Amino acid sequence: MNADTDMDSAGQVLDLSVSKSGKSRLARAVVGLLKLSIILGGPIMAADSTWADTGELDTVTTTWEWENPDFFDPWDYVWYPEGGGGGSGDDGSGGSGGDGEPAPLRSCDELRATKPPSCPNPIPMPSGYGYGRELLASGRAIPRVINFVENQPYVHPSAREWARLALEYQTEHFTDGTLPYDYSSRTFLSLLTAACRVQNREDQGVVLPGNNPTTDAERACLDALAAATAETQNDTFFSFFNWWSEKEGVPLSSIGVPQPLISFLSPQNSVRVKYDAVSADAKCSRWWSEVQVQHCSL
Amino acid sequence: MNSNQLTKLVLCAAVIAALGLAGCADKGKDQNAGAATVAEQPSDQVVTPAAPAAQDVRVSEYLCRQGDDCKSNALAASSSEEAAWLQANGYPSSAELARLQKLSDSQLKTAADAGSVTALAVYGERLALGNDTKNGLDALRKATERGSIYAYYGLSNVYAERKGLKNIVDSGAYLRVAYMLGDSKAGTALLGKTPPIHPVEMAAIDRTAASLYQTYANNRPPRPRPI
Repeated sequence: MNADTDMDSAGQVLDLSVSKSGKSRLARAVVGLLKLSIILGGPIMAADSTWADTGELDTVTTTWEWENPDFFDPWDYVWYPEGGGGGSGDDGSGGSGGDGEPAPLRSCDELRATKPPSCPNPIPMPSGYGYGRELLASGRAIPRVINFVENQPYVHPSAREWARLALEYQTEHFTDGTLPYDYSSRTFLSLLTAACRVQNREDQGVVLPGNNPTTDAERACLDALAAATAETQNDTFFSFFNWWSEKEGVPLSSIGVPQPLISFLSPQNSVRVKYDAVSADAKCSRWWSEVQVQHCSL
Repeated sequence: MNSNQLTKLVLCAAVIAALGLAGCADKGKDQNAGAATVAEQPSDQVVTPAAPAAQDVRVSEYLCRQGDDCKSNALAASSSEEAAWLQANGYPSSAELARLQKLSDSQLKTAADAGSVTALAVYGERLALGNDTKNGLDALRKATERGSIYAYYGLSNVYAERKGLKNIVDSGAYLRVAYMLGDSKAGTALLGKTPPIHPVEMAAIDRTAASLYQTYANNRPPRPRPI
């Protein structure tokens, strides 16, 4: 199914189309490195899976076709924000002074009337893959992914990079505020799935005692992906588990899949808790930046 | 009515007569349908009570016609009470909005300066989405201060579209404030967004709206839209 036909709002589709072609600086910085590392590490996608197509909305499908999973290209499911929110827009409209600084979009009166709650002091803009980690319940999806990135031994470098990128994109998406939550979730799950797929491939030759088909690193990745699927309540990539189960010849239940859905309102839902923290901090940071640029009295 | 108010009403009525507008409203004034319709009468009648015939004509612009999507169209009324509510809270009828949108910037500004809070909201949204976002947002805020709930729709549009301000939660929150101030159809508009608002976003929208209700809307008591 084409994403264009997946939504009713022509305007929204158009917006997302623009964002897909306008890759963020972060994306541009890492895409080249990842392409090289993944390609050198082995084919996660088939030779005819063209990287050049991944930036076009009309190539994006909303379900993962598993007839030949070797053709999976995670970038087909990666969405890019528009670089929206907050007063320091990059188009300079409204007549800047010619110094390259964008014109302020909101007056001091407007800013005073829209002060975010719980925002007493200026704070930096959220960034980085581990942002907000201290707020998250241990053992939940995001802490598990962070653990996979930082602490899990024998993780293949490419798998580690995919997982780190999944978290970093998530922070960027929540900071930006223009990308719908569901699209952010799909991006997160897609990149995490790529990590697990790389780890599965790299662990193929590993012989474990007791005929165990799952290495610790692969198990850690599957656990994190299963938790992320449960917390986002997004089953777009659930078929990955079926593919893995058939490939390895073990039932899904033996690896704890599926996990019970976690309410979006639960403090155990680490993805939602991160969303709340990152989006609120980003709003606070932007607000103070605008106040300081215009020297507003409060 | 003092001489300043009288002068203002006469000026407003003159502009409306020229441009075919309505919806003059004064800051701090307790608006009602009768007050709003005073401004629609010819300028030589503005000091007299609203003529029923003139009011009926004005109200009829809001009333749903056969085939209209009356349940979800925020500018449509299914009763004269709802039409009066729309008038009193700065909403244009669909026909009036079409007329306002055809005006040039200077004509729209003239109408807004003459006292039409509806024109002020439309003007503010146009500026904010164009090349003068700062003054546009100020105009929209002034419209809300003068009692316009309709201006919150404009604010929602600005935060949905304006590069540099675009934010799903902020855009939804201004519609939510309109709902909190009494417009049940603003809730319908929020739920009708595509892609659909996610529950996680909805929770954030509610938090933001609760804050804006206190800061931006200054805890204005709700005036429920007649159902």
